[in-house]
Amino acid sequence: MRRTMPMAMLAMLVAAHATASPQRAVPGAGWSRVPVLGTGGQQTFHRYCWECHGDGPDRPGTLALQVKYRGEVPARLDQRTDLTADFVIATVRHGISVMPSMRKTEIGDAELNAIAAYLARKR
Amino acid sequence: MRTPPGVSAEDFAAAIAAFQAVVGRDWVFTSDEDLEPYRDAYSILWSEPDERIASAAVAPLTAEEVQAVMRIANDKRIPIYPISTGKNLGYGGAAPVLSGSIVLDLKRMNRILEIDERSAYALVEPGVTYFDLYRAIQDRKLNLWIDCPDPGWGSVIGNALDYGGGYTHSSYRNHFDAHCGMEVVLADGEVLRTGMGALPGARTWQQNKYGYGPFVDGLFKQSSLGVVTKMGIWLYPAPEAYAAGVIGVPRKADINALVDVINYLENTVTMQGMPVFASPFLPLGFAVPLPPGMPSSDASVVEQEAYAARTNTPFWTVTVSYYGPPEVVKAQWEYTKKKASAIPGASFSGGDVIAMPPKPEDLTGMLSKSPFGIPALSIFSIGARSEHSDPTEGHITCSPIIPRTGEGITEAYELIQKTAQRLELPVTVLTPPIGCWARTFVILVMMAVSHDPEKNKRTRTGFRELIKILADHGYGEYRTAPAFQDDVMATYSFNNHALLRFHEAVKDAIDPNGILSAGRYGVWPRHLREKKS
Ligand SMILES: Cc1cc2nc3c(=O)[nH]c(=O)nc-3n(C[C@H](O)[C@H](O)[C@H](O)COP(=O)(O)OP(=O)(O)OC[C@H]3O[C@@H](n4cnc5c(N)ncnc54)[C@H](O)[C@@H]3O)c2cc1C
Repeated sequence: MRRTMPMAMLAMLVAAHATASPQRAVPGAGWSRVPVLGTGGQQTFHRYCWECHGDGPDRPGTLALQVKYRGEVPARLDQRTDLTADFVIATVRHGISVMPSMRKTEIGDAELNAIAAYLARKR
Repeated sequence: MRTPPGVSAEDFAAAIAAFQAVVGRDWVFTSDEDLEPYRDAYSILWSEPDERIASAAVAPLTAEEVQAVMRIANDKRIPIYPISTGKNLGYGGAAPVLSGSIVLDLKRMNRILEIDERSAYALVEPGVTYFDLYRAIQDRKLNLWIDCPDPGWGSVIGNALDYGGGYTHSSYRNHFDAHCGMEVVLADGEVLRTGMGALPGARTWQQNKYGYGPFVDGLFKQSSLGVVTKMGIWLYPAPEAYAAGVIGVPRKADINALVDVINYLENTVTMQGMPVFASPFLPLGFAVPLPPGMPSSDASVVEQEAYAARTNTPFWTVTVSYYGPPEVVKAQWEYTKKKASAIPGASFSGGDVIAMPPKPEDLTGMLSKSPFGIPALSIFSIGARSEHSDPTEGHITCSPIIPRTGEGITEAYELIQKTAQRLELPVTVLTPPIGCWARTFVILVMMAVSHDPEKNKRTRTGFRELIKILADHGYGEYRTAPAFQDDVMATYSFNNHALLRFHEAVKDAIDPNGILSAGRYGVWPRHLREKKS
């Protein structure tokens, strides 16, 4: 049997089924749990993307990007400055790895454009 | 343009135009680009000729529009595949079972029609997600909890119809059991309400699921007989407190007595949370670096027990949890300890009573908030890129139901481990026995999906063999991906497949043109059965 699953995932899996076990982990410093809702693109980003790409130890998208880029670019999408709107739209409609594709009934074109423009904004 | 099997281009075009007239042009999708997200993102047939692909998608806004769509489809013999939120990942996603079907995408029907705090239920449409229902309850400051599965973006209706399970109180975490009252559109566009809902102006549709006469709701579970457009779901009065404690036992065979104790506690509702079993010696589909000196899961029981004794590690643990008033929760944990003390060497830890609602610090470090009825997506860390694993393209899951006994666990694990090793299955996760339903365990054998057809082909071959071997030992799957739905149905074969023949008879009677969810869970309409044989 393949043996590749890391400790973090074991924790995840067991946590998925056990969670509030008596030995709870120590809080990670500086994680902001509740997103501050802005308007337009930011708000839409928070509504649709934050659960995976937000800030915190339990965001699969952020964790995956942290490992992928090793700090070369921020793991949080809303802190990136290298994203293009086209790339964001293509990824949302096609999915990538365990992130599935999103249909127009889930995120409409107008909302997706707003998210893409927000993430592609240059600061 | 792809057309549904057996449907002429003219009929298809006419149906599309008729659908557009019903739902509006923006909500009928036919281009490759628009249909791409209707592929099953976790398909084990990715980009192969047999991949299940929709020929179009139609997204109505109301039950009346669903009726109109079904009338057109029935008239033109167009195969239709309804989805609610279409996030059934690992079990088919948004894609139809019969390639070329038109997906009836109910995501836009996302109204929460009613939340009743006093009677603790909600009445929802198919597009309502766990996130939506949770937020609505929070916004209105209602004293209610929901029970959700790990992925919070799923549909309350879709998950219940596919026999999904959650994590909180035993009376709520079997989602189909917790539904009460449905509205269903049949293949010919007729609409019916089940239970008390058949009484016009019923006052108790969401309180009494059985109504009058035969109980038909089960016909719409994992079925192809109707489009569910409304469903009641029972909610949980927010508990005052929660506690979780851990029982440990020293020897391998102690699992037999331990499961019996847990069953007693659960069946007497002395314990309400989902029991979570674990053992460092379980043959998990993955390796955590073993602590120095720890024997592997293949080592002899003597070696393992010696290690457990030497390091003071319980061979098995089970986390038990309680929801209720603080004094009751406390007493239940005390009683649990007394009951489990009959097992020689049993040890206990935890059991602190936590006041509800949970404070941020109660949630800190919890990777899944489901036991507190809070939806999230953190579970998707499984299969995502991490420090130790490459990202996968998702997974499929073999999900055998096993007896709720210690002997059952031991036998099933030995069989699964041996078979998976022999077949070299790409098992990435083999869960401990999950007790989301009160009378059985389910084990999830998760296998990575790839975009390499050769790898997927090997996985499919092995998966099929695993299904048969498990069935030969009396373990049946409760749910599976479309690629294997016929295989699993074939194992439920008592008396020359009497159950399947019954399903087919009902299918032919209710949906004589065989247009709804053809092939789902191995039930094919007559015209396609004849073609297959
Ligand atoms: C990492 C991971 C973890 C998971 N954890 C869990 C878990 O904890 N518990 C669990 O139960 N599942 C789990 N799943 C499986 C799955 O993701 C969920 O069950 C999910 O809720 C199903 O998707 P959905 O709610 O969008 O249903 P849908 O995809 O909308 O529906 C499922 C199927 O039911 C039928 N259907 C849906 N709506 C209707 C309707 N209105 N009328 C007629 N037929 C209909 C269709 O055939 C549809 O394909 C997990 C999956 C993954 C990938």
